[in-house]
Amino acid sequence: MPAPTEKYSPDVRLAGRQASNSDKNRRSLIFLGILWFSLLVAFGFLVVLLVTTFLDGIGRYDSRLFTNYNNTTPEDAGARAGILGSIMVIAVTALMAIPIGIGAALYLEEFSRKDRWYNRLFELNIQNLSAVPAILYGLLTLGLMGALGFKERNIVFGGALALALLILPVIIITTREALRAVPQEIRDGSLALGATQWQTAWRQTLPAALPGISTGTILALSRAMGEAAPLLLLGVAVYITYDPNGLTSGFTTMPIQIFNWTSAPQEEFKTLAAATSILLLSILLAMNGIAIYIRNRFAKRW
Amino acid sequence: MNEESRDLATVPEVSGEHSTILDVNGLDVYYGSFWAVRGIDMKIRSNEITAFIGPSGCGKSTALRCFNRTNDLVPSARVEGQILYHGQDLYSPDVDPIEVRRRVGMVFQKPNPFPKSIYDNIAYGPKVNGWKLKKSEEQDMVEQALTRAGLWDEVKHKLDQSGFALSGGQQQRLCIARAIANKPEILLMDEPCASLDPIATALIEDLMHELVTDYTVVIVTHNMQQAGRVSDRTAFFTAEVESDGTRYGTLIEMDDTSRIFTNPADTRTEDYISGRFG
Repeated sequence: MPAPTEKYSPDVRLAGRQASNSDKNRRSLIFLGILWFSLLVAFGFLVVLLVTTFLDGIGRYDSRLFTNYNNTTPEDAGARAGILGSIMVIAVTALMAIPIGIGAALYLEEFSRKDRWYNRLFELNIQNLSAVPAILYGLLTLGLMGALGFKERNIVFGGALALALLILPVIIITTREALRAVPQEIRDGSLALGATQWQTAWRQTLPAALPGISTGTILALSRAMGEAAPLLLLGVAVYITYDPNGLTSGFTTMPIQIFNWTSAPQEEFKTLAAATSILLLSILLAMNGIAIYIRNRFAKRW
Repeated sequence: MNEESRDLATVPEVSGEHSTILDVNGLDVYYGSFWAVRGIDMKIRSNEITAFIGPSGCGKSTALRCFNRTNDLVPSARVEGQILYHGQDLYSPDVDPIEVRRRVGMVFQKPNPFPKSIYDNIAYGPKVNGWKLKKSEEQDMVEQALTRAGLWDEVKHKLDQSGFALSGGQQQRLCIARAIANKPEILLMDEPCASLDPIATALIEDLMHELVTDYTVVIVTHNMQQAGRVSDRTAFFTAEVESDGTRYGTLIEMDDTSRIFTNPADTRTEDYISGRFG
């Protein structure tokens, strides 16, 4: 039974709670310790990984890495085919995934009738697809390439197809979120001036959502760039001694090259793998940095 | 006989000194199976300011949104009845809602400039309506619209700045300028001053008095004093409750503003005006 408040003078009522109930007792401190430990584990492993990779690889991070093809002699081997292969495959992936992803998101967000069952089915399945393991997209692509009549599956087009399918759900979801963040008043204003829904989407909603779309797309592409599993399933070669020169050209990528060198017996190849990892990590960091810059620079306050 | 009826159709119906521009007959609005607004009959006269007043949920905004067919954008909404605009039913199947919206402009409760420059905010309407303007013509048009909305002197040196850089009242005048750049005949305003301070509100009200020489203005307002200050005619809407508890909005009466405020025909109007409910 609480005492009537008149009994307390104001300074008593404002005083801190008892020690057992405050933020500074033993239990709270232990809990805080556990939180710090969790953070340290997460951050610590990342630092260890980055530092050891850097120390292992920096000695071999030289011009040979960029100019030489793979070689049976570690001293003469380089990641040129992997670097160019990664760039080419990601470029083709972007060409396939971005227009289709934005188109699908634009339809779902701006044109579809939300009360129709099939549109809800699309939505639900796209959410699910983004959680499908990457390797399954490799399987799917394997089947697709067969159905399309390609004899070789380990070609630029095949790799890009697998990666595009992999990141398509992510692009659709982030694009939809960016479109949804555009206030309805903008659309109302445009439609009230006699603009069609198409004009409104094209001239108002899409440009306003572009920063968010770019951020999501770059993050998706950087995920695709680091991905090896679906490409391994396609049988992407590891020993390529030429530049990829077209959609049907053979290719390899940096993650594949790293995977291959790490499993080689010679210590020098492991060093080479670490050097390639430095490059791959730098590129991914740069891409994420650009994405964050775009998000902050063009973020709109409505 | 034939001659006569055609003559009647071409001569605008004169009531007082102003002709009827919108003739609303038996307007019903449904949201799904819910009959939200019932049996509205009214005549909006050209080059006058008509105010819609009434308590929340009385259907005044819904009725307003029928005049430029923005209710079409709500998937479950259905409109029945007739709204004659120069003798054409706005809801007849051969009428293109896009054309309706070009001729019947709208200003919203919250200023909603586009995330573009002040210049592009104004140039947008004519652009989407496919007017092929030369650059100089477009510049003249932008200046005219901004001048008409009383904003030109404040923004003429910063036309390339974002519309968001303006104050709330300036943003709302930008939205009015944007609407009149389309050269509409009717300007609908849905509580245009609801989010503005008294000084910005006074500017908008003065502007409405100037605009009414060229346009027909229909304004929805929660503010009875505003209706009294700006409007020539006032329509009083209210929410009625059916025996099963369903609420719906309907028009009680419409008359000259002076009459509505001093000697309304219906006691419900009088109760609302005198502050007894709403």
